[in-house]
Amino acid sequence: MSLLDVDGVTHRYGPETDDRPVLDAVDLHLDDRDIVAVVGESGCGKTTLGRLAVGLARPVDGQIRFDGRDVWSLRGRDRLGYRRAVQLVQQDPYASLNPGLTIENTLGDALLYHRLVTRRQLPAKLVELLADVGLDATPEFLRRFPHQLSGGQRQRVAIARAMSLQPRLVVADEATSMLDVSMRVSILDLLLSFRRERSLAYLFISHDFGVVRYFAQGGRVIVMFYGVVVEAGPTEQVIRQPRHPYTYLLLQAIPVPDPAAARRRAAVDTDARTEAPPARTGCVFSNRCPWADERCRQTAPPTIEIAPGHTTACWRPEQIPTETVTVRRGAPDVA
Amino acid sequence: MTRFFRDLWRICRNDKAALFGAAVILAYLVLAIIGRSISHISTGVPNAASAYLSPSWTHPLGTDNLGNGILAELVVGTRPIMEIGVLAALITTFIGVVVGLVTGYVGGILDAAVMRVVDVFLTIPGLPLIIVIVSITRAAGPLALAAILSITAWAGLARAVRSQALSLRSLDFVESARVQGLPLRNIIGRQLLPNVGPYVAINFMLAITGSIYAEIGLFVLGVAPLNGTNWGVMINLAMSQGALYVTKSLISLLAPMAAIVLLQVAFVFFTRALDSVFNPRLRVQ
Amino acid sequence: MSDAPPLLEVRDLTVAFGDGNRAIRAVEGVSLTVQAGEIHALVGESGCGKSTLAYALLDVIPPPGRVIHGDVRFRGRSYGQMGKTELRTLRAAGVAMVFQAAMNSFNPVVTIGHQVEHTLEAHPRVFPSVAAGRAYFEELLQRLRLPPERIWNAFESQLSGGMKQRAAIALALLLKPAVLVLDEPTTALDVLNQRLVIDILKELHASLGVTIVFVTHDLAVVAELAQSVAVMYAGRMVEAGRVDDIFGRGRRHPYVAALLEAIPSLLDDGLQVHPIPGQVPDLAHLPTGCRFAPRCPLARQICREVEPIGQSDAWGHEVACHVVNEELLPSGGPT
Repeated sequence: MSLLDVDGVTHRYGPETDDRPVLDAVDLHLDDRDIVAVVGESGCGKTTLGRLAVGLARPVDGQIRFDGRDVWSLRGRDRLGYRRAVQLVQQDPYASLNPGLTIENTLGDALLYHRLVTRRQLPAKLVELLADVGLDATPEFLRRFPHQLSGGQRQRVAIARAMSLQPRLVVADEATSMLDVSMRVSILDLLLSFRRERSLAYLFISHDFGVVRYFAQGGRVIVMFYGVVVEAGPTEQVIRQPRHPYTYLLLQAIPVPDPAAARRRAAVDTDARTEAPPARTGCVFSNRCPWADERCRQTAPPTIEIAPGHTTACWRPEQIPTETVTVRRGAPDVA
Repeated sequence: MTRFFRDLWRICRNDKAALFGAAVILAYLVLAIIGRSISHISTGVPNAASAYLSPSWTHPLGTDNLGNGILAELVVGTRPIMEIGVLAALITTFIGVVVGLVTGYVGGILDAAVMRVVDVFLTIPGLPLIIVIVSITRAAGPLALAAILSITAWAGLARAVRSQALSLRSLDFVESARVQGLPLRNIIGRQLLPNVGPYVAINFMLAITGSIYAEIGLFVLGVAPLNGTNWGVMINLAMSQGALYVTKSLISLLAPMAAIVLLQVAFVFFTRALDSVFNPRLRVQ
Repeated sequence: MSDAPPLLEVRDLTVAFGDGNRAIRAVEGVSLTVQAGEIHALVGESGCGKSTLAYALLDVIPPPGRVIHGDVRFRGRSYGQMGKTELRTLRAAGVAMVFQAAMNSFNPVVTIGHQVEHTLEAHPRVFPSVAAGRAYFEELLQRLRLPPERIWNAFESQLSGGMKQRAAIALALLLKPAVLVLDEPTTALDVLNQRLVIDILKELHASLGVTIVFVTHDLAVVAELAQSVAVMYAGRMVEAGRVDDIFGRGRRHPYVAALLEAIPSLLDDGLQVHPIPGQVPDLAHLPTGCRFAPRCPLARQICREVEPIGQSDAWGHEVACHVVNEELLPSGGPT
């Protein structure tokens, strides 16, 4: 029994139309202490997947199960238990904290409501929480308002808030995208340290493959394209040996911070296909795929396992060039 | 809190109209509280000899048909008017905000049902309904009158607050509160309410002006009971005594009207200051 | 080396916001040269002043910001000495700007085509007729891989983020400016659109010969696109040089070195990352001495007392660091 089961989930906003749903029969399983990264571009459904996992919305079709039970069938105490066990860290540190509440209130409200501490124990608990996330563990800090904190500090408060309820699964939705690059890794390390100390699983949503590669080391990555899981597997393996055209093209297109390596890389043919809408019939990627054939356009490919734990939804994965995508840092061309 | 008053003071200093508004409202409030003790109205036998006197030192605005000083009556009449006005605004605002926030946030069937009720209340003409109810029930006390005055006024506010709640509910920190399992009362009270606060405060001010007009109307029309002294009663009596046609008694009609207009204008000017205070703070920094 | 003045020259520029002692200096004492035909990057994290510097390049610093020292010169003429008409012509036909996420680029209530016509009518000397201008605009759109007819008749809200960004670039290039300034051209875009913009900018640079200055926090985009780089930190320029100098392993500012090691990437060694401890200083409470000293692994006593001055080597690679430059002192050459 998995910790989190996303079982054949389909979701759309608004009434049913001819357009593809935001999520199309997506399956996903997470066990305790798993790290699963979800990668994709805007419109791929990864944010919606995150929202469904934390129960902010109810899937139109399919089930979200936590500890084997459909989350939308939970009532009363069970539902509160689910709420405590699954938490969210959002992208925008400037929007995720209530501007009118002090840090003390932001962190304390839920702790008190769920009776995890008494009023008397609260101050000490809050100071401990601040220390856990690397902030000034002082009562003075607790009295501050969000606008008095920097982006990095706010994000740490958001993480403290999520961790305060002792969750078993944390969904991080682009948790570092709006932070300065120099501090992203410290936030990622902070999240990873919580996992080491508690039995915590992560659903890590990001569009940045570099960040995903770091955070989900030893874990899995899932690549989504317009509501469909096109590839899934161990992180380093998917990055080095992508077995779906979209993953491959995506990895080829990502800029790398090394001018010599950038000069040496094969130029990717970015053309009008980049803008082609996702196909309504057959493989969702067929309008953009350089290797698509008639079968691809007619019938949606099944998900096949091409290596242990590594799946792809493609009729012709053998077409994809096998040279490794990770790039050697190069010596400068100019002395 | 202190920051709010400091900002308010700074804005009033720069905006003369707002300063004027604040000063006038304050003056009226003070009069409402202490008015009875500084002005004297005789309720004894009317003294025909002192009726409709011209303005003088003892009676700066002259006297009315009963020989009472008009200014004195204005002062004494401030309290009932403001009492009912503020009370009605409080009731209107409270109901409007609660209904608006809950329906806007919760949505679904509750929202649909309540909004239909709101629609009904919005289509019913307010003033005629108020007149009818007051005539039938013969309501007299300030609380009863205030309640009746707000009978349709809450609907418009509920609509507006609801649309604010609809846009607020998708804010990250509100969603975060949901994910944390916080109960409805926390979400409404702690997350949503402070963010509609500014809008509600300004609406409250304007609701006071609306209620004052409505209640004056009730008194002028004679629907509300005519015991006691207040501006509406003064206008009513002045009209029925033919003050409109006689120059000497015109002032007994114009004085209460001027008092009303002055207060309303003051409220409107003051809300300009509130607007400025709230505007930069509406930014979610 | 010709004797003509450089295309854009920033001389000891200081831009302040607010007044009195509490004025914040978003840019302090920055000198920079942009030669004709270059692709120049301004890099840094939040609060470093790169956007303010970019706005200064065409004298559109938003109030309450103002230049309190130094100036910016276009082809030798200082902005401070230009009249209103000259500045207005300059801003469209000399130095054109594309704002982040193409915000404020387009009037939402008129079609793109309408706006192009307005622009052409406002600058009648660039093209012999509006029709000629339109033809050129449509040619630009094709270079930007956009369908001309559709864009001409579209409203801003009908375009996706990527298309809007490229349409904004076309509008900026309409009056054939000598310099194109772009503020975070790839930041709001997903990977494939980013790649498209990078490739297109390179093509435009090659075919139109336009000088490009772009602002970004993304070092990978710098590596792929830039020829010259200026790195900013907390209002100061800490390093400037050719792109291979910045990314190379030679003489470098400690901030730049640390930054490159703080970014997880798809490079071979992209997982060996270390965050930079601490955070970017608050411009209202700057430390004495070097602004990076509190976070610098090489910091010495002098660093905490005296702000370092930029020193160039023989190839124009400038670094503002006591420790690094010490190796250049008395003996003359690099160690």
